[in-house]
Amino acid sequence: MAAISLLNPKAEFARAAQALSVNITASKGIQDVMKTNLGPKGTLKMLVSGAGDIKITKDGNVLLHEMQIQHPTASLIARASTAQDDITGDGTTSTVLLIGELLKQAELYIAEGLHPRIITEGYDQARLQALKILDDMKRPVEINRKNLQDIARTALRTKLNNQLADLLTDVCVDAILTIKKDDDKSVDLHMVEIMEMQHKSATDTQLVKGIVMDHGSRHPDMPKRLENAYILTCNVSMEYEKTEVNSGFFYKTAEEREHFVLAERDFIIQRVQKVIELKKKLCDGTNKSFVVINQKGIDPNSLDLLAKEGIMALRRAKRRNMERLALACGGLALNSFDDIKEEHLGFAGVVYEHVLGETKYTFVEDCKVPQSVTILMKGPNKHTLHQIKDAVRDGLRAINNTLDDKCLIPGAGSFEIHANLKLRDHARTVKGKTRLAIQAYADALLVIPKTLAVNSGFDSQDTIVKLQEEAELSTDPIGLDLSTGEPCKPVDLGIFDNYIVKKQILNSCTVIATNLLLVDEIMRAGMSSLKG
Amino acid sequence: MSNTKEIITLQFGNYANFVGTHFWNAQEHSFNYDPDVEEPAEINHDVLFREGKFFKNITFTPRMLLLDCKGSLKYIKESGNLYSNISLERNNPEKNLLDQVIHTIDWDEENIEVMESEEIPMTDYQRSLMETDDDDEKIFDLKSSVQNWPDFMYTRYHPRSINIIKDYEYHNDISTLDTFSAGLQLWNNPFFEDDYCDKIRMYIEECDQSQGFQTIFDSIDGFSGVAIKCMEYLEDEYSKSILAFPLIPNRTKTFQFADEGMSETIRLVNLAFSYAKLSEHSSLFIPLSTMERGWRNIGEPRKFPNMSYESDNLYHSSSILSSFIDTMSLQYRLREHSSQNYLSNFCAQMNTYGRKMCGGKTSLPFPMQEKEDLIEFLDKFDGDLMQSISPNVKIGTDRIVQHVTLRGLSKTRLKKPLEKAKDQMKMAAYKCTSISEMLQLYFQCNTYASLSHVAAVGSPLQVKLPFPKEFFDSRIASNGFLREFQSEEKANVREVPIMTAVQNSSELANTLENLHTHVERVKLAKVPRFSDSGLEKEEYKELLEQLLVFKEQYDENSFL
Repeated sequence: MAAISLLNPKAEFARAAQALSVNITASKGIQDVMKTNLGPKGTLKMLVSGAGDIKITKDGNVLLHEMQIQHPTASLIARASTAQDDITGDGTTSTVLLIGELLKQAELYIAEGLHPRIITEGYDQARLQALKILDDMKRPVEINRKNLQDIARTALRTKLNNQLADLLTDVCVDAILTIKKDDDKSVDLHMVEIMEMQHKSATDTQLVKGIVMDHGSRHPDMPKRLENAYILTCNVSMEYEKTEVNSGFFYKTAEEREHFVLAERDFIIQRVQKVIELKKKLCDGTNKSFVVINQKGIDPNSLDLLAKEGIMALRRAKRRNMERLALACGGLALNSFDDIKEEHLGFAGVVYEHVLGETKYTFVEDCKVPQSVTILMKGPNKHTLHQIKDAVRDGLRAINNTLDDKCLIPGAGSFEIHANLKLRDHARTVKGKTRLAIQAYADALLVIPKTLAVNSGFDSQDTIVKLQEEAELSTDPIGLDLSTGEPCKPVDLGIFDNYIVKKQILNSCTVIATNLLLVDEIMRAGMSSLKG
Repeated sequence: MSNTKEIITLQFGNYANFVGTHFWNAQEHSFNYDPDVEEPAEINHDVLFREGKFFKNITFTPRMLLLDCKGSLKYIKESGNLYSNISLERNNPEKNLLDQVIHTIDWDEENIEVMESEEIPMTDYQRSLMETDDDDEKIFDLKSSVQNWPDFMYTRYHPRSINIIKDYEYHNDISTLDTFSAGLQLWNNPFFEDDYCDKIRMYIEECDQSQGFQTIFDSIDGFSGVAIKCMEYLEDEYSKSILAFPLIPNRTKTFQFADEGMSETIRLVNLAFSYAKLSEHSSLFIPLSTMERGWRNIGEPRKFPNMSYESDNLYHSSSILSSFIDTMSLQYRLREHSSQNYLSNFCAQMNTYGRKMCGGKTSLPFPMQEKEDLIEFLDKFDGDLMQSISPNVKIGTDRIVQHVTLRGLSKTRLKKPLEKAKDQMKMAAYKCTSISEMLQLYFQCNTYASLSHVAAVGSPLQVKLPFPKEFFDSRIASNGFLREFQSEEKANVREVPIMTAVQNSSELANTLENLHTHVERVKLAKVPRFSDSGLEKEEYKELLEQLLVFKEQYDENSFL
């Protein structure tokens, strides 16, 4: 009898073997749900809510978020996988699969009497060894378009159909290459704005080398399209408002009061005049034009004044767009107009407005050296846009990871095949029962190529044997060609994974799996247990 | 140029959405579609609503954002029920919508796995809205059938309005988003913040001269944290007035993995955090509840004369609170503006010396008889004109600052014309020429050393389905006034006069002190979920300090 039941007779508990089987069953359960997702030939999941909301995804992370996971063990695994996504942006499905498989393999040995402690020690050794193998296998890459395309394509094809994936690959790679500095360091992904338009079809998604904003000018007389435009980005209120604090003015007569009100308004008008003066100085008599993009508000009076001068003015720009605009078209985001000069302004070849339903979009394009770009996603409906958005985020992350790592790992399951072989060799050098655990670890790794094979409609044992034979003979990494089911050389086909993704998977999966294995008692003695 | 000064409304939490749903229903019921009406309505609906376009149709939707847990929407789509995907349904009405969607997906059809949740059936009321125009005659037993706010939602919302938290699921009997600090964490999730703030920005970008924000939120669970963070952001980004209504529901749920005692403690701490932080980030706040006590043991339902509501029914109590918000907010959303009547002014008049907390009072319905004139009524009336609806708040008649709104009394009900006046002539109030003037005089006589702002609006509160008008008792006539002759049969009430007041006085110091004493006793270490969600011990100490400082603002001083 567990000690807890002496203290709290209502407590529920599960001990030793029972506790272990609870954990293993849960991890197998979540593995089963996610298994079919893996790889470019996995199933697409379509989630329909009770009200008919549709969500389409192939991304393990999105799926985990959508499912309400109640089981504590399963939710622990789900959290590990979410963490994987936070850190690397990919590999969530693999994480779930590998944790499940590590536990499954361990179960066999534990049933035969091997102590979980020995298995966890073996797993930990195997992890270190696997990391070494991973390091040996990594291929330093030059940062060029082709290599980046390879990695982005591999990531995106697991999430979208090939045609769209290839299109987005180019979009993502171009986006990063445009804003990348010369030192090949990873970029700030916030500088890639992602904008969605419910319109046309997914294949109309494009990269805009400039900024797209989801609002337009609010005055009917303002120009809808300007060329050779100076861009003034600012965070200065052009809105008359009474101040919040009790700052009432004191007056004796009605005229005096009117006068005060006018004086307050005058203050705002002067600000607007400053902009207009600058515009007159720079643009009048030339073919240049003037655009004001303000983070604060612009009231109808001020808009009127600006419209009369042919200035296009946008109010309430996104805070982050202030930074992006300055990077895209140059200039500075101003906080006051006190000594406003030409060098504070940015410049764009063309600025135009596009109206779609009740939303206006403003494009700022043709910038000289854009350091910030926009990916304009299009799709006929919400769920397509959502799917593209998730995919684009992952694609960008994959490219950025490559810039960080400066190396890649051959994909298509080749790492797992290779590591399996090497670990088996290594196991032979180990004395004692730990050897069994290392073997178990090596076998667990094979879950990735096995699942890839099954999802593509091939026999898993057949495929694995073929791959292993080929790998033993070849010095190159050998992976699985999903269209034929035959071994292939992923390096030649341009299938690559991120180094950091694999590294993270090995680390986190081993840690979670060993933690779960060492659990020998589960108890629930909360005050309102079993609810929810 | 229109003179509209727009307001954006934010609702956080389940009960807040109950109140909000009633509020928007009432707004929509007060629209006037009759083109022959000569005078424009007194109320300027553009303050709260926005005009939009969807497939060449003009839409008029609330400028509002609501937030709730996953599952609370039931059969309502996340994109709302207004801007639905018409194109798909129209193309092929016979075919199953789902199949059509599958055909549009560019993926091997065999490899698409559909995970369908059970379809949630619509309630009778919602179905009747879809089918025909509303008629008031049909009877739905909303009182007992309403489980959640979509069940009595009449107004349709813009797709932007609805925000759902995926990480927390809605349950009937427990609440999952538990602590203030969990709410803070939720806000700090970059995706959430980006999304939500962007939606606020899109609303405010449409406004020419927004006057500020109204926030309605549940103050006893984790939504308080989200709401406070949001107000912090609003203050920072837009520096406009923020009027807040922290709510305490009349029926509370326990929290996940907590018994009643633990839940009470969590509620209390959340509430204390809300009050303390509101004193910092809002311009003015009015706690509302139909319960008399609101800290540890939420209880003692308030009684209102002439109506009998079910004290543990959320649908009932929220309609009372919503009618209060609806009426008091008239102050800043009338068409005929003097420059005084804006939210900023309203707040500035009430929050002198940093006394940002106010009490609310309402009289629903305003207890005047059918044939009575206001002058007579005020002369005869004895007792409390209004009932407090702020928990643990008791405000007397000395040294108060108040804003009173009376709606639903036409000018003809003020007094009798000279030739028929008779006794009325003798009263001092007979010289008053307007309702607000007379009320002003009334309050001058009935309060001591106080300041009253009074507004009177002619149009009464419309009570149409789904307003729970069944709670008015048989004394109320169909026009909302008290019947002259008793009748056993309940009238079908169509409109009611209502009076509300927002009051501030030094007596609120007691409320805050009382709260502080209660919270001080809580041992935070015994509630690990607070520290689990990132609350530091220091912050808690600061909270207690902040409450005390806030309380000091109310202490007697030389001014009031």
